[in-house]
Amino acid sequence: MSPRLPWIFRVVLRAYPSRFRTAHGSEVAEVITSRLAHARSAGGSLALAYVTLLVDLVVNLPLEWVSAGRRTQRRRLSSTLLPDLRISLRRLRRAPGFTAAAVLSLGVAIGGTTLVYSLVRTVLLDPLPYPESERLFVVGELRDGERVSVAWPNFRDWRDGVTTAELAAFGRSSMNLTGDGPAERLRGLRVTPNLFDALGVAFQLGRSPEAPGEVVLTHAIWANRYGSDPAILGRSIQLDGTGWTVTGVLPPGIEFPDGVVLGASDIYTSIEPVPADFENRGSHPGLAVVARLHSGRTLVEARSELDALAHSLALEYPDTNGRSAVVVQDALTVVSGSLRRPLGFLGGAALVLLLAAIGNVAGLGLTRAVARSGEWGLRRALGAGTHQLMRQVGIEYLILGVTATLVGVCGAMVLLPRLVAWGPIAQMGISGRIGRPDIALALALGAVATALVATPPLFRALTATRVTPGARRATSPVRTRESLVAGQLALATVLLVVAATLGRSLMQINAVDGGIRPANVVAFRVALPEADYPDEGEVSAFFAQLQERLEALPGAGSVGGISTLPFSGSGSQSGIRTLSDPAADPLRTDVNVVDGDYFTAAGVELVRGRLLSDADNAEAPPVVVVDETFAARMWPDRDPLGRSITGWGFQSAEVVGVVRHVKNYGVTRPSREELYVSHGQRAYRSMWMLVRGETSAHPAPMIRAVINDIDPNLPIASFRLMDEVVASTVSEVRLATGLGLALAALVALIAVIGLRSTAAYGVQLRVREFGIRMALGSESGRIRRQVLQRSALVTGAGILVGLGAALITTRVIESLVFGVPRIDPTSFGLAVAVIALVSVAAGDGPARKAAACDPAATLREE
Amino acid sequence: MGSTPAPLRPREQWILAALAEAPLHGYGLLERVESLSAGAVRPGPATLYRTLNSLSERALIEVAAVESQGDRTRTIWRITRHGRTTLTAEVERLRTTTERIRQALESAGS
Repeated sequence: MSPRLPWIFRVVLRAYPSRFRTAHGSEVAEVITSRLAHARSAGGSLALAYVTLLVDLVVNLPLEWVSAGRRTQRRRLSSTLLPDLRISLRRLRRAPGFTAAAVLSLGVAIGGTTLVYSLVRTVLLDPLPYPESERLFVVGELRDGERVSVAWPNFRDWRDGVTTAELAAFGRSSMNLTGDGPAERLRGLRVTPNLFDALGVAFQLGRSPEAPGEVVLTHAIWANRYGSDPAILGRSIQLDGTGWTVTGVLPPGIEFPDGVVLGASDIYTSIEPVPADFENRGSHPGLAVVARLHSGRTLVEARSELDALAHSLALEYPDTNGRSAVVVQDALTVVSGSLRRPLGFLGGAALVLLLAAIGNVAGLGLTRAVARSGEWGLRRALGAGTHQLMRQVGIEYLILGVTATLVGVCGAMVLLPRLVAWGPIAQMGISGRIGRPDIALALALGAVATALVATPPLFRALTATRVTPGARRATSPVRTRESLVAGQLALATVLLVVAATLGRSLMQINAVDGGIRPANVVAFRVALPEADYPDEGEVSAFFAQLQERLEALPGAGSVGGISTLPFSGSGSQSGIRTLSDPAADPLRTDVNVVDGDYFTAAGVELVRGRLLSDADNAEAPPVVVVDETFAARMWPDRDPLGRSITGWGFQSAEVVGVVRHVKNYGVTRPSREELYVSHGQRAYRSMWMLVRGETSAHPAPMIRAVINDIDPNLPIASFRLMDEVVASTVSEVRLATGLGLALAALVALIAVIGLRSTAAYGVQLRVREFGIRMALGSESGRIRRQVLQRSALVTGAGILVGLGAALITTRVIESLVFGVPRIDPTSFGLAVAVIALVSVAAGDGPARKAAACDPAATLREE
Repeated sequence: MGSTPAPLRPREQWILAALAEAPLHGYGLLERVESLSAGAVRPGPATLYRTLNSLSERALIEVAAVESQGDRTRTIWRITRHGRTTLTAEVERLRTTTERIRQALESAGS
């Protein structure tokens, strides 16, 4: 440094970081002195130069320290973090068993939890595609305590009388679309014009249907059929053979799956003006009512208002409304009601899986930490600080945690679409996508799980004491690990009991005789438009020809038609009385029109008398076939054959046969008495055709060809396999059973891995002792027994705790269980047997290893 | 480095411009910057060397040579190819900016 530099500059310069001083100190000093000399010689203000230079030096001082700090940090990161990362990776690679077990168990658990949460979120928390869907509710009518569809005049009176909400009504009405492409059967709804307002749906184009002949299309139909034609508004399309004007197009994402408030639909038409029979207060023409609360109003207010209205209507119209009541439910509950329990159970199971995985990895890590405590002690003795050890352990677990979270999220993303395509879920129309909230949850779970599993080893690293090499290994955490494993086995037992109970319940359900034999039966719907088939003769001729052609198909057995598909969740009822007692209360009966060999095709057995045939036509006297429950209810202890009924438009019809009861609404649900009429005596335009095949081969293409041949303008809606239709009535049970079994198996697997590694670790710790004992004459069989006993003890403790917990947990699935007691001894026994067997198998390996240890080798080591 | 580097500070522009002419040591650089900017930019020595540090960390300049004379060492700096392209881009950016401002002024005046 230049000697001519004034002392004040020297002091400040010395305060600079050393790196700056060595690199630039002498040059800075040189510049300062030359500047000062220059100022002096040029005759300018020396003081000014002095101050300017000093300010420059002082102002830059803190700035340079900041830059220096930043540089050091960067250097430290690259000089210590990267090597630490490399070391940790190498360590993990050297322990592939531990790494794989940790990543897989945590990954599976995080992925599983994310998956289940995603389902829960879409189904329970956010299932409706409408704004502020929590303000939506459904209004229904109860008659004699039984849910019936809403009568139009009642809806009108509610709508006009209610001040707390906007009410809208809709009813199903499907139509055939022709022109501009192949004929298509469209699912349609007739709606009040305010429905879309009430739901909060904004139109993509145009407006609601308000007058007859106006139609609104869904986005999908607009895009697929009309190529998203922007000039679609005002265009005429052919529906059921007549022209309809398109007035609007809905935005995408409003095509809801079946059952979600509106049900899947392709087109929407105006419900008004309503047909004449709608004006009858006693007629319930399949209308549903949805409503949106006005802001600031509550469901309780709406309910009391509607109750009051229903009460005054009952007083005013005692004949039709005397036994009616109104039911108000919020839309979210309606949509997710039946899924609440199964998903709640699955959510709990996923949590159990996560806990088991965390317990397992924590246990594995603890073992590893103990095994490394020698190494750590050595490193401490060589001068490594605890923070260095802890940082390395932390990095190791960070790598594990991040990888496991990635594995979990990717797994969930890959699996979810497959899962929602799986029968029971697909039938409920759940759409699945891993969204941002799910990923956020996965990350949070990953962070928490990582922190939890890293804690025991971090604690070990913190307390690692300096040891001299050669000292014996520190005391083991075998006890801790054993209790962890016992806990996991307990959780596995609970899940297995629950899953086994559900599985047995499902078997019971499958064993129940639903009244039909659904295997190898294909069903499809045919609806003849009135414009093309104006009179009954043409309708009958069509179905006769269809019947004949379908029977001629190769592989086809019996063919028949029915007006309402059994097990499809809907039915058409009418009040029926016996002719001998016309004053009695009519019996609300499921009424059906059947055609051809329906009973044979569906597998409905004849109990007495005869089935309906083609001879039971319009010219023949009216006859009906009833089911055994109808016969027993109407004529207990008397022969129903030859007796007559009245109702459903028949003055009198004779019972000619009795068939088995069909559990029309699913085997686990209540069903009604049934009555069948021949198509020849009541020609329906819309029929479900059932074709029983000799094999399970799907004859859809051949059936399409036949129909296209008879009437190319006639569309066919989707084909359905009858066994799938039947299965869909128990999808909640199937969902809970399937996923529950999968989760139980995973938890059991994780627990067993834990048990095995704990046992192996215990053996490893005692290998010296075993060797010495064997050298002293102990038998290898005894040692093996001893190790097995230890595993058995852990297993037994786990099973006991698990059974206790299962007694309480099975309450969660009570509503899903059918035909099996909630506390089912068989399921409990099954779960215990599985856990015990698998545990013994898992403990046997380490036990054999213990028995096989070489006393000579041990003695040599000693 | 990114395709659109952050704008340079005026001091940095002048230092790069001076080095674009010829490699220089610190003191020479101070004089050249002062004369190039017609006295508008006169960085103090600490500011200068911190700026040089920062420019070299961004690979805009590099050390060409270190001259030793007795106990005195002088570092000679030169502009890198990256520094030259960055400066050219900066000049272009300034040109467009002034052009636009000029147009705005003219249209406001008419």
